[in-house]
Amino acid sequence: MITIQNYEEYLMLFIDDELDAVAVAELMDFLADHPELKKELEIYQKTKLHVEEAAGFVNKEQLLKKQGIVLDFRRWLLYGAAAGIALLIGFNVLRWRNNPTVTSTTEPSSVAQKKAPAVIPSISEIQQKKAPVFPAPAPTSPPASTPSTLSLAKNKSLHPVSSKPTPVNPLSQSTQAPQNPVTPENKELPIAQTAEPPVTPVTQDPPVQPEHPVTTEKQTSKKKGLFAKLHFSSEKKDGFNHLKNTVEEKVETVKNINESLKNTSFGFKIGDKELLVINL
Amino acid sequence: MDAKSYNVCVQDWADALFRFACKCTGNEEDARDIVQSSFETLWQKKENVPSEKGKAFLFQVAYNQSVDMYRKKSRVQLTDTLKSNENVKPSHPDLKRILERALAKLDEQARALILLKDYEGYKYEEIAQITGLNDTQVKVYLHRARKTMKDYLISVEKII
Repeated sequence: MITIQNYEEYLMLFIDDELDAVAVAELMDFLADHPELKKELEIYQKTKLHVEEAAGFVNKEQLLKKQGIVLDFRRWLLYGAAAGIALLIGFNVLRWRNNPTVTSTTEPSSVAQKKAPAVIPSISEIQQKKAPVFPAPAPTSPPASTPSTLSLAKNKSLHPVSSKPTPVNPLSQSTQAPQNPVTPENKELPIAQTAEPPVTPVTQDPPVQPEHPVTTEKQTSKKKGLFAKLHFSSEKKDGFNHLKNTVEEKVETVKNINESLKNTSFGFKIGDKELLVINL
Repeated sequence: MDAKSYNVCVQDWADALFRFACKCTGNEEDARDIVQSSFETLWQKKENVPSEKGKAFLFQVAYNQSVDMYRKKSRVQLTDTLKSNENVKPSHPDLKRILERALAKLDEQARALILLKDYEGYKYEEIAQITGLNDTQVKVYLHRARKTMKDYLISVEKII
């Protein structure tokens, strides 16, 4: 029941539209009995705010979301990263199996590169300096009766390292010197002599041993002569030996790895899920 | 709530939410931030919010953020500006300006209750759900706010 003590509460409930129809009718009857309170009701009604339609949020498009399937990108990113790593490793393993020397040669090459300043430049220097020594295999190619100019041309083509043809003759003479002494005829055709060394000593000196030992001796003597003329220092020889040993060790390790990989398998797991297994 | 319902909420309630935040904070920039943040929160929690509760959820988030933002700002500055505004007598005062000043005199909670009631037409129960108060508290705080505004209107009318 509305009284003079609680009418204000009813007025505010009326303003807030919280009264039912019966209560509203009761309030109207009460106000009709107390017209001095109508002014108070008008003031309460003025306190009610009205919506300003003009004001509004401008960028609604920014708030809108596209409809469709939304993927959990983080999970796919994880799977994608795992698959990428697996493919990368698998590709490398397959490539290594196809060409095992790719990985095995990398380390020795690096070792060789580290040791290179001690060994390789010295060889190149030796080749440049002692280039006339290499005419040694020349006697096998040209026939004995070829003219000197032709043999000279062939010698040029066979040994392009040596830029000057003139050093060839003295060296060939020097290699042949112990077995075939220089005669005036030989001086006229110095290069032709280098083409026919096995014939002349056997015919001139019968008691000499058979051909094969002679040739082996000559080859060894040539080799010895070659190495003797190269004048390797002990350090360079050690370097050659060290390089040879390193390469052999690496080849051996690669063979061992190849054997062990036959019984190897790679597996990739994320949590408890086994994604991929590669049997080699 | 799916994306379609969310977009319907944006179309239906973005303007109302912006007006509510504007009145609560008194600053359009802050109100824009609050609206964006409210819809972002709704999108993140859309799986747990039914479509019919979308509006209430939005206003709940906006109300909490408005109250937090209001409390962060210096209340002294706002009171000073209100006092200075009172001293300046408008040549043609209209009811809208007076009501805005009356609204500014309220604390942030009472102002939000008035806005939810008058602008959005929520019932006491719904306001209680949004603000986290109970029905009786909503009723008492609202009536107190109305009385404050009524007294302010009476005082202004006496001055005029």
